[in-house]
Amino acid sequence: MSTTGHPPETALDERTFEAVLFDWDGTAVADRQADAASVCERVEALCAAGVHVIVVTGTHLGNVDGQLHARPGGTGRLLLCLNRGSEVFAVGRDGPSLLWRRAATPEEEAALDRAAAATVAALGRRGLVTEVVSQRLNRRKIDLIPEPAWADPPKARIGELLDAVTARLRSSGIDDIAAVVDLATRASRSAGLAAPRISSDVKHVEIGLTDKADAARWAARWLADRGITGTLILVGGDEFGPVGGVTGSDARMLVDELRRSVVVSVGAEPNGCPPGVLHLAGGPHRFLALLDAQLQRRRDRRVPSIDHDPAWVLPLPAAPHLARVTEALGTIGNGWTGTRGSLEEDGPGTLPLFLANGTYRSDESAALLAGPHWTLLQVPPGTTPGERHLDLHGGLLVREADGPSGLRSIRFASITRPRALALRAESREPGLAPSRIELDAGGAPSTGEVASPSAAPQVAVAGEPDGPTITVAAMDGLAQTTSGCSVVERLATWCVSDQGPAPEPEVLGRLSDVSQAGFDLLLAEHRAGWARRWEEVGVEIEGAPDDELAARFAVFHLLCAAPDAGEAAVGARGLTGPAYGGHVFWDADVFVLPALAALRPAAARAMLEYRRRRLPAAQAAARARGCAGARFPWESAESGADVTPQSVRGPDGELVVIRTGEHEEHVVADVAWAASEYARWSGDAAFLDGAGEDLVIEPARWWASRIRRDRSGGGHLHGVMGPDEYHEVVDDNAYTNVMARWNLRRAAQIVEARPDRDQAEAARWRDLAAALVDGYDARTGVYEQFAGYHRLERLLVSEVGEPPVAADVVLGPKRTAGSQIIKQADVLMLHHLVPDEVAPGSLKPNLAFYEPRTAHGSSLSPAIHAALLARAGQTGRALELFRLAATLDLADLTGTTAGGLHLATMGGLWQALAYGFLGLRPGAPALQVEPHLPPEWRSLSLRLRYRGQRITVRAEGDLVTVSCDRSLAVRVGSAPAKRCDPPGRTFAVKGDQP
Amino acid sequence: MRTVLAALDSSPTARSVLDAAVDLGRLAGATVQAVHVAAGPAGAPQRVADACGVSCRVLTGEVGAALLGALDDPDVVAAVIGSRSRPDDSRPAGQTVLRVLEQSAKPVVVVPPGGAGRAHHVRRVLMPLEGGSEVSTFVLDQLGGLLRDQVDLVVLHVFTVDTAPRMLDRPGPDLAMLSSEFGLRHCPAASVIDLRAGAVPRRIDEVCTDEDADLIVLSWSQSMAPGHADVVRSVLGDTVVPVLLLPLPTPAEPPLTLGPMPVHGA
Repeated sequence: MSTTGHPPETALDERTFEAVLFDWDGTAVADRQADAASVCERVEALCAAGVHVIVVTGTHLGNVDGQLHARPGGTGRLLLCLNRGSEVFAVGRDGPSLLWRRAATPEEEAALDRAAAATVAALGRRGLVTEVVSQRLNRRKIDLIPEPAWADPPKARIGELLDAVTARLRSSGIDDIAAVVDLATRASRSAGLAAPRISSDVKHVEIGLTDKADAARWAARWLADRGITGTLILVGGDEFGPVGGVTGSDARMLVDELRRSVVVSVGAEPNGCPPGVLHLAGGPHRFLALLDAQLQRRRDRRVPSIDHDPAWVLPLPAAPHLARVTEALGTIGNGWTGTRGSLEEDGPGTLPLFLANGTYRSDESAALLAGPHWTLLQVPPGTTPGERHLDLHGGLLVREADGPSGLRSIRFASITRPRALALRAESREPGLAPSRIELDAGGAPSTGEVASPSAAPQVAVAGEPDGPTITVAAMDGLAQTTSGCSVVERLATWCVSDQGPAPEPEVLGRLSDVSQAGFDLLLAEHRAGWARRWEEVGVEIEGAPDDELAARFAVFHLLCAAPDAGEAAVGARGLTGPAYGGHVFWDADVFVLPALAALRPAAARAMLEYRRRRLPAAQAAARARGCAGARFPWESAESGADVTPQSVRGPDGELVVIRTGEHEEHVVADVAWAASEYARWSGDAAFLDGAGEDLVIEPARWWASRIRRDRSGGGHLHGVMGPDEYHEVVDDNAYTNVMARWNLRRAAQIVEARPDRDQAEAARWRDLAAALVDGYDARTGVYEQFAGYHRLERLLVSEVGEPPVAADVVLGPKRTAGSQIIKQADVLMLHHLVPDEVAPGSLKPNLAFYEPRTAHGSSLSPAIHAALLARAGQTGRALELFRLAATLDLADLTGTTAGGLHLATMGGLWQALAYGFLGLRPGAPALQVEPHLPPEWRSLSLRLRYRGQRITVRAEGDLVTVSCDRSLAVRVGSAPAKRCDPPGRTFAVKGDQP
Repeated sequence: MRTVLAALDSSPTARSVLDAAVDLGRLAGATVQAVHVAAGPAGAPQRVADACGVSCRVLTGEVGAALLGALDDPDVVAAVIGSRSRPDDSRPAGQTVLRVLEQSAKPVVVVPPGGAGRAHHVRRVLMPLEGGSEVSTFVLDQLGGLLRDQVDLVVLHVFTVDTAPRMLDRPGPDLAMLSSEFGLRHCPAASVIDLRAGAVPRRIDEVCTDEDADLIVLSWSQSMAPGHADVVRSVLGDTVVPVLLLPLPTPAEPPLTLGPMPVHGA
């Protein structure tokens, strides 16, 4: 419950709730004899409109269902949380059915009896006659005033009742009801009830195993499973304030799980309400008026609200000059498509974009094809951009414009129905209308041509007549509300084809499916889908809300980058912008894939499928160079051929030669590593024995044919470029050589496990791997980045500027290449990716040597250094670099976020949390955990998938807890692996298990 | 009536000054008024003015004070003045000129010596910008008001140690993106955005030549005190094209994105 304030009463009607949770007696009905037909009518209407209705009451099913007798049939559910939190019934057209019941043990039943008897006896010793009047489910009820005049007092007489009970208590020397509650509490504990629930409705004191708090918690969890949290929930009651010194019965619904929900009291509340509860008074009549307002909002198709939870909702930059950055940050997607967060009216200076994963143009650019702009609307003149928020928890982009129009909008790309796109907008001013969906106009203003909402669906096709296309079909609705708002609703679908426009019947058929579902159902499913997704991939960082939000932002966009079926082409900027044409780099294999392998294995598998299907092209590229195996391209698009441009025109018109395509061949080993890492996280051993085998074997064959032996037998790779692109063409780059060595050994391992395979080839790979030079100096513990690196100008980054800095700009490319300044982790990438392939104990000396020489002039660099520094125990500097990576796009540190988000940085950020701060390493026989948290973080918790099961790893202080569904082996630090059984186990980071 | 003042002396530069003033008047939609400070008749300046069909007014008193007084006239939108009398003078500008530049609230075009006889029609304007949305907007508004968007605008952004991008993943494409974004954020009207690195005056000189610019625009905070206006001083000393100095309101805004962005020369 919000203790910092609540919305003013007038704002209640301007908010759309997705669930209403309320007390029955006194809130929804005056008493248990009242006619509840009007409540029934509203409850059924709310459920039909998709609103969940939850009644929380102390009484039993017969009383509430008998009085309400609602039989709803919509997508909203009616739940009755009865018997003070001990039962939950779902009510449908066929009546109630039990969903959940708290079953007391015989020992608990006996304890309840003893507690009630002891309480009655204690009161009797004070001269007060009371009695246990009934034995309800999981509770005992003691009548404090067993007199005929007060046999069944109505709620309206609660004041008189309180006076009578208090007088009766005081006649026995008992101050008030609170004293009886204390007495009952003590008696219950003596009777063996560890956590008794003691409550009072003035006439009674009840001793139970559950109370309304348990009901509220159950309901909150049920709603959270559906993505309904916080301010999306209206909580209603009539007794929140204290009565007779006892906390009001409805105050028990104020549980932590509902702390941000909107709470109203329609009761008299003679002693006031607790903080955060809006006192409306007015009884059931007022409460029904609230329900009517919600029904009207539903009928009017008003723009739904989001739960403005600061832990999940990201405010987007509002400054006009950051408009394109905001578009990238506010991209919504579902892995299949990405829609930039452009304003509905877009216009000059904007970069609206709708992209479909893997749909590239067939021209020389091989860039992702820009699809039709499905979010275009005509808005009232003078509409301002207003405030925009990205709701990470719900996968929603919302807008609230200031000014007279008060334009509000919400949009999403369904995560449960990948073909469904939805947008709803409302305005107080005239002029809001659907626009024609337009094709890419390169940021030119939209024509503003108004589409007729009553006409046939709009169909727009982007692409080539006989080549790749993206088709969007949309159905628009336009309505006027009773309050004078204009509302536009657009439901859309998309199709891709590689041979001209998709057949119209197919497109319209999909649109029909989307339209039949309708906006409200799509939204409900979408919210629930994201809630389920977050249950599997959660990130929690206690003590650092900004870090936590940034990490969730990264995970959100990682999940939006790749579909979990078919093949996934994850470009360097995902589906969030046009930069680099959406081409696939090693960013995907080394930075994004490990995160998805642990968060969404099916998506990681789809990324590998993208590489697998392009093996023939990679094999052809190897043959063209006179080599064997497969040479994966530095930049890849549809065909799998290298689409790295040979040169680009610089901003001042000069030609900039690009040499990465020809020389940065470490990507070949990176693909193999990605396949292996996927198998380590997922436990999908069959992948490397089957479909994925060639992703390791064929790269090994490439290296085997590429390595040159010198006279002394040493193996060399000449003319390569490592990750440090400041030194463009070098010999024996340590990263490339060691990754090639790892690749050869991994391939040999696969072949050696299969006696039917060519063992001679595996032996040759082993021999070559052993021969490859790696530049390691055992005396210093430092790898030389490439042959001759140590002879370069000994320059440190501190002599150039404050990192991160594009040192090549400051020093010029020539001097930079002649110096020891490096762009990003190169040697150190080995310690990150293949720690078993580098010399034991070499992380720290290489960090000490290379970190002062690293400019972090690449967005790939800070997160990986954060991971390595954390592993090395340097958590202060690790946190600095983590935060640099975390704000890289949020603060547009590179100045290029407008072109799309840096997906590799986001993957690196998750890797910094997992591999770095938690020290996770996947694989058999045990999951390695070795946390190093910065003091600024109280705890770090990641939910992920490990070898087919969901696990949670949480580190706090010197403890680490692994929660699991099935048994697994866990190795903490250098201790021997230990078995961890469900539901989990806590380990001491140093020393024995506590 | 909008007026451009042409401050003429008796040096050969007077003709270049007047030519520049006539061209500025054409662009600004203003009448050109020649002025000469002297105790007696205008003499040579009068003849230069007559040759161009421009009226010449003689001002009296101390030269700097007289010119600043004329600039105070509300109708005057800008002035044109010669930087120094002789091409071999090593100073960026004469003392009187510097005083006028430091104290004028109006834009002043400084014409280098040795340009006599050079036909002067401003077509391409080079404007170095560090960025910063408010400063950029101010400068572009001032420039637009004066030149009425009748010229090609070449914007130069020079990366220095302090303003270099923090990261360039792929230098070619990233610089192109930075260039595009710089233009959209700070100067959408620019026909060319040129990003370079190094010493600012040297890059201004290079780009002026490469882009065939015939006017350089610098905004500045009007202080020639040591440690200030190094770029202005250097450009005035070296350039062969006129320099339009736009006084910046003080204080300049703090930097926003793409590096700190007061306009070069401040």
